[in-house]
Amino acid sequence: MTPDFSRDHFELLGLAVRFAVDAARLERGYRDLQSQVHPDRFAAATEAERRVAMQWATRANEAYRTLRDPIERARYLLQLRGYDTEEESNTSMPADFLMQQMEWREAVDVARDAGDVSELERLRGDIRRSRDEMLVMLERALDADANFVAGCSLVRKLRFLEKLEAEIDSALELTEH
Amino acid sequence: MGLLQISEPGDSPEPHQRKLAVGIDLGTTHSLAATVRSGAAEVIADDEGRALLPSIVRYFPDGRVDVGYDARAAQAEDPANTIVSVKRFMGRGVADVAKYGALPYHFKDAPGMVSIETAAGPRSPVQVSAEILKVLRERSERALRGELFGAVVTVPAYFDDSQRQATKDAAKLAGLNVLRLLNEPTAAAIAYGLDHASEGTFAIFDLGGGTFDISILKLTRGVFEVLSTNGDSALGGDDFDQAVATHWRVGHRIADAKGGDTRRLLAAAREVKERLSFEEEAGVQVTLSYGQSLRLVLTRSEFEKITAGLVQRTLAPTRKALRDAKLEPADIDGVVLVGGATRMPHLQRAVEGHFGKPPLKDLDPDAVVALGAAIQANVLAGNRAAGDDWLLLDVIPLSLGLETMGGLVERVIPRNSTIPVARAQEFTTFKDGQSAMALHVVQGERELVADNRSLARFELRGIPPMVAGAARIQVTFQVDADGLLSVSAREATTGVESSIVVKPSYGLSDDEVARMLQESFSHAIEDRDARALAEQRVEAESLLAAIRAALDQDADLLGEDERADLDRRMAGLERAWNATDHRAIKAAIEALNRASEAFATRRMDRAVSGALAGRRLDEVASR
Amino acid sequence: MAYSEKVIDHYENPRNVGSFGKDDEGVATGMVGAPACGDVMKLQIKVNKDGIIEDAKFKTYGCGSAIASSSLVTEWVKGKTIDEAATIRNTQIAAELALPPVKIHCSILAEDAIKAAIADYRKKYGGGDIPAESKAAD
Repeated sequence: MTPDFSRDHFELLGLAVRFAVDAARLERGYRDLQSQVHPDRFAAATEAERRVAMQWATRANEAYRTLRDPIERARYLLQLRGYDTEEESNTSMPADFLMQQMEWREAVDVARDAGDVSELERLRGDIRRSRDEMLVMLERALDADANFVAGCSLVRKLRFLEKLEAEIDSALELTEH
Repeated sequence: MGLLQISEPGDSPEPHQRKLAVGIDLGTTHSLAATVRSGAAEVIADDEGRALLPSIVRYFPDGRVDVGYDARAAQAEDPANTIVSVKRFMGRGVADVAKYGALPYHFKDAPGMVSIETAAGPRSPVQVSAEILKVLRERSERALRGELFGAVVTVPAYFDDSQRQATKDAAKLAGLNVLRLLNEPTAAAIAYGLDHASEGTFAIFDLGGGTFDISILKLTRGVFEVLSTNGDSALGGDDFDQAVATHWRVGHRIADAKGGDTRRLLAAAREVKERLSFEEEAGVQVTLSYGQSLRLVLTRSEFEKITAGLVQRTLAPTRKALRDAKLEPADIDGVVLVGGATRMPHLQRAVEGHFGKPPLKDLDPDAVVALGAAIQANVLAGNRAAGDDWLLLDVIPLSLGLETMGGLVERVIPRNSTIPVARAQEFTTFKDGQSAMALHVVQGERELVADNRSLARFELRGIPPMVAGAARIQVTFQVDADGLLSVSAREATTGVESSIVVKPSYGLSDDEVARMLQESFSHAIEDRDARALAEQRVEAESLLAAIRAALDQDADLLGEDERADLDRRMAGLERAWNATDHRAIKAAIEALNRASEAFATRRMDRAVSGALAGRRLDEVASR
Repeated sequence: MAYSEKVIDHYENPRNVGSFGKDDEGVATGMVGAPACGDVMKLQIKVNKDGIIEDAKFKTYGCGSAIASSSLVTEWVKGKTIDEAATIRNTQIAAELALPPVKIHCSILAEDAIKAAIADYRKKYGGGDIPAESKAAD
């Protein structure tokens, strides 16, 4: 017998199904739920209750993890609306966007080889700014315009920025050694 | 040290109702136990008033064992049979142990985890650790005057699954009911946070005898949330001793020190290291086995030069932890120092330099982990009092993944995921008609399987014959609240299923633990049965009590037939309790557990619905 | 077990890394990206008057498999006509390099890159009838 997991993540954490999320409310919803279901509350309970508690706490963590991260949240919301973000299969991005990615990746490579920490940090700043702009566009597309196709495309673009940031982080890690 | 009173007098259950629970810090150089008494956590001292137990075990040919100070006193005279720093070998193979340099033991290449040849026969690190835990269990039961209900045992946050599993096995072997494995820095944060009523983002910098952890935690009212953790499970105060001993060995041309001399040098190095935290220069007189007497001296600045590299090694994990938490050093409100090795002034300076603020060190760095574990143990045992309503959210330190074709790792659960966590990944067959698939579970951050730690291999059999790529095999990783992994696999189109608890490659099966456990108590069958009967009766009592409490609250969730079934099983267990067959009690417990599953599920659904309905109307209205 | 030897060879000694001037005579460029892993790939072909690809260059930011896939494709297309090059499929690339299942998308990216370059060529110089829109389909 498995617990009733039919509620979506938003409902479970007490939120409206929207991209814009009040971080404090999200955190409160998560903590309220965990304080009901966390295995620590059931360490002295029956084996069956301990298992159900673990399943629920797992579910709560999954919901929180998904809604806390804007890309994951957007993908999940699009999925609820019946849209697939095609991150595995859709390789055609606008040429200027890809050109910009190429330039950034090259700049990261150059800075990494030179061990140039301040340049890496400057690049990270640029990328974060670009990411923040895209998140504003994503909110408009999903919440105001209900333009889910545009939402999917923005999620795909954001994945490239996410990768770039990871590349910068590992380059910074290298320069530390 | 004065830990905050965590309950008002009179709030806690009556003493005779309290379940005895302890927190145990199983350390590299020493271990200790603590408990909550009269609302405050305190360490449990031995008969001579000493709280710390050196984590040293000496084996004698007749099977007798010395643990603690006596063993420590004999380490130079009987190095091969006196096991120090056994924590470094937990869940580790011969190749890992080789990295620690020349050690005076005869290691045996056992599958997965090393075994040490002693005068009493081969001993696995699990068994050696169990000896330490057993001493602490007996000490606690004497001090608390009763059998322990359970214990929270701490592990370095950066321990992988093999090391955690080995620790849990050792605790079971010592006859402990493990309520939870708790990460050491998290335990320290509990003790610190509750004591200081702190709020904010804290870094717990924990350099123990053999392991280094850095955890970033967010403390808000009633919640301890670990944001990230990192570390080095092979870096600790021991390495500073080694560096000093090597320095002397070279400087005094002590060629090829024998086992006993190695120990003498290390002991001298440790003493000098500790004194240099307070003095500018320290020296000791050492007599080596061949009669040579030496005066070994070191100044603080020499010491700092010799060990500067080791201090530096703590900084890379610290940066990584901050990065994973998406924070800068300036975002940290306080840095808490834990572990005896953090007493070294140059280490404190490095920490201060990195975070730009002096670290907090008003807690006893040797005791704070055990105290935090004791507070958690008290709550988990059900001795929760008003004001104890805090919640602990921890993470796994290292990513978990599966080997895919080509020797690459497919990451399934990334590091720093909040536990418990489950994640599924789909795989397919690559040959027509392929009926079996081997799965290899690994832990670590590297792309190639060979660079990560191998946790387990298992095989999914009975995949129905299909063309290559048609089968959809869903592999689910579940990490529980102890940070331990279990894996199940399922073919989605037909539902063929296979599930295992990942047993580390070192290969201690449940049966082996049970066998060792029985052997360790007594060789007489009747004693063993008596012990098993006592254990099963205790378990039966707590199960019955838990179900009665549940029925008091939520009996309306059961249909008439279900209620009748549950009552029948409860009566069955009571009957078994009155008889003396521990196997019959065990069977009745299992039957009652099964019968209560649907009830447990519905109770939790009700609790969740209640939590949702309890939210303020305007929150729901905004949907 | 590790990466196949062919992957390692193409990864450690990638062929044809670099670029042509974008407006050089007979040069066409295909640029694609894989969101799931953030890999970006630029593949250029240089076509002579007889419609034969006489040279190819690539620049790829991605994992070993992505670099090996693009390196292999640039080798394969040399000496082929545009129409022949358009028949290269990701399954051939994956098979040649013995790519593990999790890296199949790298071969897809390489196939899409050559298709995009061909589409660019046809847009610039005409000839053939594969419309540009289909560059990422299939």
